[in-house]
Amino acid sequence: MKAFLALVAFEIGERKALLAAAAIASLLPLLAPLLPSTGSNPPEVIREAVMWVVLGGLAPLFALLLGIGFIGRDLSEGRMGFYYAQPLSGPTIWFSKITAVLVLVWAVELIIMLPTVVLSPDPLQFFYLANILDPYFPKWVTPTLLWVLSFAVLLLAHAIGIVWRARSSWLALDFLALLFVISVGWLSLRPFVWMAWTVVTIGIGWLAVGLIAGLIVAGAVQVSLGRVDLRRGHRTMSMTLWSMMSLTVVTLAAWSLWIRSVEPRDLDGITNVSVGSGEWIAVSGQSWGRYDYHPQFLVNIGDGRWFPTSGVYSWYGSYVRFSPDGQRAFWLVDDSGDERRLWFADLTASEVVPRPTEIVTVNDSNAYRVSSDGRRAAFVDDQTIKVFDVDHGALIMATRIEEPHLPFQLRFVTDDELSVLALMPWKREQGKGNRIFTLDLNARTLVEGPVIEGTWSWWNERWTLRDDRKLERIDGEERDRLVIVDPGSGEQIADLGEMRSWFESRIVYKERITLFHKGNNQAVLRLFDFDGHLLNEFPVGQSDRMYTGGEPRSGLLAIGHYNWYLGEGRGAVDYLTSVVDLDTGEVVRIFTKMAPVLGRWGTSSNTGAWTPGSVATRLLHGEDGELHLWDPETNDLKQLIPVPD
Amino acid sequence: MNTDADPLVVDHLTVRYGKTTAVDDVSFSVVKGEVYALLGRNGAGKSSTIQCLVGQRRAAAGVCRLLGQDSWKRRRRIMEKVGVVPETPDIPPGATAVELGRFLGRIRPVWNADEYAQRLERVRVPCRLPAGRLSKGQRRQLALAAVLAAEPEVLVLDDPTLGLDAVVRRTLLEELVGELADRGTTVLVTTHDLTGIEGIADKVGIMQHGRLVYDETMDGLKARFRRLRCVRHEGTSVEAVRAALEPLDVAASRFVGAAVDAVVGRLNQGAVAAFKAAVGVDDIEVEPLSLEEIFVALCRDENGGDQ
Repeated sequence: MKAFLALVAFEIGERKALLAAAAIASLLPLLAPLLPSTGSNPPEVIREAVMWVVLGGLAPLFALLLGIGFIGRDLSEGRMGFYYAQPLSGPTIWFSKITAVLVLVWAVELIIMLPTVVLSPDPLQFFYLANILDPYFPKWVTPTLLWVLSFAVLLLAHAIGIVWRARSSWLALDFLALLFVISVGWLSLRPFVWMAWTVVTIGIGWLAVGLIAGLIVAGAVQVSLGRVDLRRGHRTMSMTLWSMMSLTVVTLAAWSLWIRSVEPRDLDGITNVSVGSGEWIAVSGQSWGRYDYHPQFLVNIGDGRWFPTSGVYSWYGSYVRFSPDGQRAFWLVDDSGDERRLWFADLTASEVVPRPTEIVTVNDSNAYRVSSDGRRAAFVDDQTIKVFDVDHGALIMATRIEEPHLPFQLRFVTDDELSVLALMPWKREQGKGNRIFTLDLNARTLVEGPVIEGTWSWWNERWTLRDDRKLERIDGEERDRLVIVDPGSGEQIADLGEMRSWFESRIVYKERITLFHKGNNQAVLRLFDFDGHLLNEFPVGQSDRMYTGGEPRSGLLAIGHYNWYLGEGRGAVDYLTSVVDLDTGEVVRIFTKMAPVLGRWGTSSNTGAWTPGSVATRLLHGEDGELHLWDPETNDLKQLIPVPD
Repeated sequence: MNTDADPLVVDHLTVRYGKTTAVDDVSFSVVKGEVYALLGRNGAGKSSTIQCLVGQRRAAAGVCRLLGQDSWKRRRRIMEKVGVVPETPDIPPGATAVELGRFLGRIRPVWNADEYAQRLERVRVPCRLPAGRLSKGQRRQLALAAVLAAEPEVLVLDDPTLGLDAVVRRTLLEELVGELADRGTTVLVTTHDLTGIEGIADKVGIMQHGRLVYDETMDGLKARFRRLRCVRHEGTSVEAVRAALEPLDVAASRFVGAAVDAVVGRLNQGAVAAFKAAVGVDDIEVEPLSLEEIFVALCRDENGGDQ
């Protein structure tokens, strides 16, 4: 340690002229407010702005020059022998010299900052310009990043300086190794881009730590084993650096593979569930050690078969969509560039395997729909509607809807008829001018429908009733309203009342519509027919939010109650499930800490009533992210995820 | 003869730069208290030998030992008792003599600060000027002062008088002799100042093309080599004279008209008689040679130019 400190002090003393240069540079921000043409900006802002310019220019420059020269120049000019002629070990020489130049660079940065900070009206609140750039960072982040960056620049400049001065044939190996590291690193992290930024950030952090550690160790090895021999130094440095970097990227690749090798039994909480009309469900969730990577699986809850749908896709919105008959599942997978390819699985096959289609889209996952048998898929591609044959990838029909209408939502009325809701973008807030178009896939025609006044929401999911009447959520005076619309004239047939979310309403068996109505003391569940006539209404208790599940048994509607409370210093939700008898109005609370899955997810695949007793209507999710299947006959709960031990 | 007990041993050393062999299987040793002059023309391999000897360069083959330890593997420990003055002064240019002394005083196990200061004063090296602003001679004096103040057991000097004027050169060498003789320091020195080193070195090694071609005592070398001068008989051809010189271990020969001028390494009464008889002369002059003359004779190539 004594030798280390002595050499650090000696090296700093040897380059003390740099500190004088920094002191001179630190005066520039002080002089800046005296210059003309500084406008009405206060002096402290001008000083800080100039200070950042000076700092941003000089600090990396000093780091670069010192990094290139502090050993490389001594070597090429034959001065490293001085250090080796002393009783100093190689690591002592390396760590002392790198510490000294690092201290110098940091000192230069501090000296440049100091006068501006001291003259700031509130030195403790300094760096407010940096905070403007990103107000979410603490104040110490900007200078710390600058210091870390300086360190990285120093190390990199040293390595590059040695390589450049040695000019040996090992340079070719350096390029190959660099290519290998970049390739493996990219292949390891690419699956998580756009999907799991925490994983990507940790991966990049791991690479950065590996690089910095590799450069530090490689520098020590180069100084210890290369000594005055520049080429031998380059060779030993390269071997060490690339060995460590290879180990780093191989570890990263192994971690990436481990993350992606997740199975349903590894899930310890669900984040999304899509449900079809059969026994297959799509589940995405979190898993220990995988951060924000939420894998998605298609799982048959009857026989336990499963396969991942998230192996290569990298877009969080690409949830699985089932064909209405429940026989096919669809999802989008990142293909190349901005394109996404449609994949599907035939869920009736004895061996269910994911299959890519020939269908590629550049649009998001919400903009496609599949026909009832899953053999046709319709996409919105800019202003064009495209309908494909799924099995052959053939384009059945493509038609353009002219501006100013913006195709927004699609729906297969029948397998041969596609309904398109087109918005008027600049009138969206007023909900004016939106129009329904109909594609006849047999006649290859596009028919422009009437204007639907009041439909505005991006999240608007329309349900079709008898005779193609639409159940629409429209913009009300204070809150949205649920109305029945005539597709022919676009006029409202009935107004069912206020609603905040589609989960507050449900089409139930026997052509009935349910909708919560908030009364004075407690909520009321109202029951309408498809003409909008009120059939019945039942008090169902009071909760902060109530959402409808399905019918676990015909005539029995599940309701999810959500109550917000302050738990452990932050907001939390209390879940509760009850069922209401749609004939008698009897309400029975059946589970606490659980709510129906249909009340939260799973509406995207179905535009009509769920079959009573189907899997979708019996799925419950818990507060801790677990998933259960309820049997209303026996009242048994089967825990699906996490898989019980 | 090399022995592991000698403080300085070079044992079958080979140094390569790519495909070029700079030092080829060189072996020699220096006993305690001895001054060994390693001589050779530029590029002969002296500096490479020294870099390996002081543990700064890895040998392709062979081993160097200082104070009984492998100088590559045990460099740090060895350098506690070894002083090195390189061919080109390598003191960091931003450091002053004062800073250098302070630094070395903290890291060297032995540091004679008074001697350091006195020597610098004696040789008039400014103590507050950065080394980069000193003259070449001053930098060399500074390096030497720094090395001597550490009172090393072994001193390795790579051409310490290079770039110095004649007066300083002579003073430096004489001082070195006096001081080192008192301490019993073992010294390896390479130099082109052959006149200066002649009275100092106990032993001489001469390198040519990376090989050590002579390794013997200074007295032995000077006693062995002699200048032979004569005028050949008109009837004797140059080729005959050359043939007659061969048994005398001729190192160099020159023929100007009838005059013969040769440096030979094996000269005794019998050999002289045989030579006289062979070339048909009665009178020859035999003179002793200085180290420089011997070196020039040994190292000059056939054309008299650079090797």
